[in-house]
Amino acid sequence: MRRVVIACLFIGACARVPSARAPRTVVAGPESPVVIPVSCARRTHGPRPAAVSTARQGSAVALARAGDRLLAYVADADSRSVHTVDIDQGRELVRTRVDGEPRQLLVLPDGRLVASLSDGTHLAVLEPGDDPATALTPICQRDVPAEPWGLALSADDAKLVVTSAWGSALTVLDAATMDVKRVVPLPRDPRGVLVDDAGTAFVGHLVGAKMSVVDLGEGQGSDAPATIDLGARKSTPLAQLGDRLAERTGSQGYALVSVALPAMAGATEASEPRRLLFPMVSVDPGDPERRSSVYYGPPFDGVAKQIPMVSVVDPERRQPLSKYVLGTTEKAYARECLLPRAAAVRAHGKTPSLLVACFGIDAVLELDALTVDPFRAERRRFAVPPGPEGIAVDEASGRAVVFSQFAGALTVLGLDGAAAAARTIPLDYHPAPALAAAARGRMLFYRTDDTRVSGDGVACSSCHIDGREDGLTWTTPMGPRQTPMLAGRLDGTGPYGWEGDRASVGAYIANTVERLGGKGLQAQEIDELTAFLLFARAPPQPTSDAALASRGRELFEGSAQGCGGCHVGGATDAKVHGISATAQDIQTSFDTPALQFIGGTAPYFHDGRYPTLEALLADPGSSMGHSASLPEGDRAALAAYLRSL
Amino acid sequence: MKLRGVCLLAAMAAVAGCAAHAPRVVSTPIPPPTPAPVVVPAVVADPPSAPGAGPLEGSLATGEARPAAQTLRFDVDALPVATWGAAWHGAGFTLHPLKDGWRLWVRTTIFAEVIVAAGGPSSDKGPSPVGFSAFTGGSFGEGSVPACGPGSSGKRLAVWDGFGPAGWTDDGIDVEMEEGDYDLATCSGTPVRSLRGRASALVPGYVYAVRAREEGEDGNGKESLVVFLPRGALVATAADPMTPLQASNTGAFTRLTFPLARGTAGSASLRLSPASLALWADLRQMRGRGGFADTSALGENLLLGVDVAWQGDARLGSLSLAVPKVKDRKAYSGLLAAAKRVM
Repeated sequence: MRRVVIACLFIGACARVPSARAPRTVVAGPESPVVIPVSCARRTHGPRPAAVSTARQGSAVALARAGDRLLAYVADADSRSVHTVDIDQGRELVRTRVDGEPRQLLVLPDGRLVASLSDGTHLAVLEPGDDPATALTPICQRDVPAEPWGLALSADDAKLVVTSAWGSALTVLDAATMDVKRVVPLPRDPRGVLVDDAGTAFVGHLVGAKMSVVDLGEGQGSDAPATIDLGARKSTPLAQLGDRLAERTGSQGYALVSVALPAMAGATEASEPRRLLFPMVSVDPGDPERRSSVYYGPPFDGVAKQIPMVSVVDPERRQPLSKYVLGTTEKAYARECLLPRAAAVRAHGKTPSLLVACFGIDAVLELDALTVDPFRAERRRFAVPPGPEGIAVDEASGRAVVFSQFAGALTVLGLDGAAAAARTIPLDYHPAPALAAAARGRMLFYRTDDTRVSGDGVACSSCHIDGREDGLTWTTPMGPRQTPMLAGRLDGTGPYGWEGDRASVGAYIANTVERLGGKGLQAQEIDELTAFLLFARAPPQPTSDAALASRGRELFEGSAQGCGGCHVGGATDAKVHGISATAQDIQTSFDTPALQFIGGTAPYFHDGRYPTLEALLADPGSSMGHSASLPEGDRAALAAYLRSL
Repeated sequence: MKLRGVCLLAAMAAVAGCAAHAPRVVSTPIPPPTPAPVVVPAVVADPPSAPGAGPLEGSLATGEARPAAQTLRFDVDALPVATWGAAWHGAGFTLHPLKDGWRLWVRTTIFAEVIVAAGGPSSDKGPSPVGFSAFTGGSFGEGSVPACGPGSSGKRLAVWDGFGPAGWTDDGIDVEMEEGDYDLATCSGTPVRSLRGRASALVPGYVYAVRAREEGEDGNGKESLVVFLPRGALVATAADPMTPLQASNTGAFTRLTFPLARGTAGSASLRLSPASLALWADLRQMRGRGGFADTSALGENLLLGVDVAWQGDARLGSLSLAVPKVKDRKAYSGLLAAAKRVM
């Protein structure tokens, strides 16, 4: 224990170490550790900057007002820092390093600042000083499931909720003490979250076109979350009837906001309804029962296979109002927002706007927030520096503040008037050297609309979201292909591709670009993309039942099961093997995939035929060793081991 | 710098020694910038340089981007209501065979659409696929017209609706909707129920809407919002693709129907060309057309969207207009000016 503590103090890597411990500070002692709870209460008195937004939601940019000064707190994951910026003076006041990659920030009513540190398992609570130009003071940390992301407060400010993207959970904390009250398991990849006035938390999911609903009321601890299906159909006279009947799915669901409907005649303030606005991309990966003539989904037929939509949800009835994407063009639009990343609402009289920050085109789109699909009513768009990761609105001054992660800059957008101006504020941006070396590759990875990369505008990150995967199986001329995880799974795991026909990552990128209909990339650009993919942040190391996983490892490595023969040490034997294929498959031999992070990358197999690891292990026809004949307990142990990889 | 951060943390944590599980802090004061921050236009040409993140050279797609839209909001409850009632016996339509087609006569309304089901009569009450549809006011129709007249027999569900030039003002039109049977023996349609009322303008002179109400036996009625507007192309509606003509139909004009039910929404999107606006003007002025030719590029035509949502007690509608970057916007100037007056 002493060795671990000392190491952490000097390399500052504590946040990367998973911990299942209670949220406490451990002080090393000579024999046994003394456990001292660390209070999360404010340490100082006096007024502190107050949150500007009434939405009670986290964002990469949190605005606060200190007297007549408008401040922006900025979560800069690249620099592992929170920037404090004076918006009116147009300059950064101070940068505070934190022990992780801050993803969202939320200003609490008493002035404390909560940060979700997404590369680990912690929330950090910080306190501003009397002078906004002094560094934020860390008060405490709290453990939550892996990869904390979205933050929100309940209407009475009593509860703080946080989503955990890789940990697939919503954690409910006491906002005063930061004690964990409840952890609610959710479907994969929960991201944006908000709590309505009735105490119900709504959570948007990155993939799968779904929203979870969790009642935060007392005595609701055992209630399973409800799920709202946001799948849509396409409607266009150019498509065949059968294709119009197909249910589409979704991805890129990072942001979730709400807007109040304008008061109608006879309506009372108490009954003022709100709508949830969930920007995402509606996706049609193609019919897996059909062999496609083109790669990765159907060709354009009035509606693109990936098209932006804002799913509008009635929170009271818990059902979507937007159920169709409408196609009214003969050719797909260019410069679409295919990587929506953040959103904010400007409540402006009867014409509120939804502002969506888009990676790829590096723009903020101002949409009519009250239409059934606001992406169909775009008012205007603002160009911003690359990687707009967060956005916040100051209603009083009619400005939006956008944080561009890839450029390390804030942009202040004037929203009033026809000739709106933008002002850019460079931040004290300090990415790690390895990230700086991969920066161009990262920009290319997220670039939409680049004809060198694809013929239909999609980016690498359209399917390999943030270097991971979209949970989808796409149609191809070779048969259905599940999107593989890349982050943390590429180094030394060649050959690449489900067919195992590319020796290097670069060769596979070149081939992928060709299949996407892109004109092709220069060797240097492929090298830059490769550099980014080898750097791309893997999920936080999962925690597991160590004893069960250990038993599972024995089974995995044992000759009776034969798992480790091909998946050597959970990685790969670098060979292709014949397995059970489907009627749509051209060939029957596939590369042995590495299994790192497999617990969070369902569905499984090259054709995505298994929705869960348990289903795969229980199928005697899977060609995967002999796991189906194992007792259920042993299969559970195998699954636990796989989830620990 | 690191050591300073560690000690600062230790002081704040108020514990002896350094805590392994508490955050570290390194403060970095930022000097005021010189010169003052740069004010740039909304389009930022050169982002501030970050380490390694210089601008990318590349080939961006050159296709048309989504045109900016203007939206007008309307309160559905403020729109006029017309209620279905007993059949009005002056109503009806007749088909007359021609050498190479059919002639459609509709009594009472001048401009009408007629939809005849492929299945049974109105008394069957079940959904039925569309047999054919036709419009007056021009040569528009689709589907297969069955043989009728002496020797033929049977009835099929028929619905027809439309509006006349009499009473057509910028603020409203008189509409008529009928539901009944098409008699194959007589090639004529007769109503079993009728609706008459006045639709008011969403966009004066161009887009009109009325709430069509059907009283229920329990006192609760059902309503649909019916919108009449110039002939659209590429009409896409948020509706069951198995019953497309119930949601919209396009010929001499376009009719959109949005069922109004609590907790639901409907939407539609279409293109309006200069030719379709000219046809609309001809209808209003009673100038007949034998045919309709539209050679415009669809992508250059005005994009019109309508949506309606009933949420809580609010029934909110939106109408959006977006004009692509075309050389000649004059064709749309009347429509855009009319819309601007009510925005």
